[in-house]
Amino acid sequence: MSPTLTAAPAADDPIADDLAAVVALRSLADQLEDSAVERALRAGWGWGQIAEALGVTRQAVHKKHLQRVAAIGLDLRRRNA
Amino acid sequence: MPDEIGRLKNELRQQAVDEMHERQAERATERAERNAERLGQDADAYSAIAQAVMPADVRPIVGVAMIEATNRSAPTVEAEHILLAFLFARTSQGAAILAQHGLTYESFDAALQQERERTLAGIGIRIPDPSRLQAAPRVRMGRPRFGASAKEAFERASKAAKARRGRAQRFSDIDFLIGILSAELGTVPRALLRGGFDRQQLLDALGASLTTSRKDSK
Repeated sequence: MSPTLTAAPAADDPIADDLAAVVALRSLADQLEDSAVERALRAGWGWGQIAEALGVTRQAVHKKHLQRVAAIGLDLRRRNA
Repeated sequence: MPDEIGRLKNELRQQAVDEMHERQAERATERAERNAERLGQDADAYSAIAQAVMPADVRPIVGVAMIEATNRSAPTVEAEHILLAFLFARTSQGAAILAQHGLTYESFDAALQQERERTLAGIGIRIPDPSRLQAAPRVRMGRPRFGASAKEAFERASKAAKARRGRAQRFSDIDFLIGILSAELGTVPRALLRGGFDRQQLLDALGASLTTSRKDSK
């Protein structure tokens, strides 16, 4: 109820644009990650390799993506490749 | 494969909407039965009336919003996902008012995409080919996690409803939509601006319906 700005910044405010770009980048990164992980699995990458390439632990990438890719019936037999 | 994922996403969304309608219908029937009992009337005869004046319940829409978020690889449910859910379900009075002003699921979705493209272009990022972003929806079990924009919209809505009715009460879909659309910064207002929508006009239209339909609320 108490905005510190008396008026919303103009639509072409460069600061607002940059802040919005941060939001857009995060969402783009999320989408790109989901998509790239799927494509990697299809191409025969193992979970460990994907994790290493993403710079996260194998557990993290597993937890985030396993159910999702299993739901679309992606062949996971190659996970140890 | 991309087609299959698109189909899956549509199915999930439709499923959520169907579930929502089912729950709404169930509640309407229950209410009708209760009312009929009270009035000593036949439940079936009363059902149609109850359905017509039934205040839109905002809770079921959250299920649809959650699917919008997971379909878009978003980790949290944001205000734009809730707005998309309202627009997709098309059943609420608020969505009908917005549609009169050209704001539909399709037009808002397009506006969101446009906004993202333009904003990223501003920092020199070109969105890659859609095939490189195509992904199976995220899986989220249990309660949805709400992002800040959704929480803000929710708070604004309950505050407005409380101010209007003088006491804490469940707010209507109109209140929620006003809560979402009154954000002056963030993805929703930027997308609306990019899509050529007059946010104030949308807010005025929603606000006008509140003053005219007050007699509906008990």
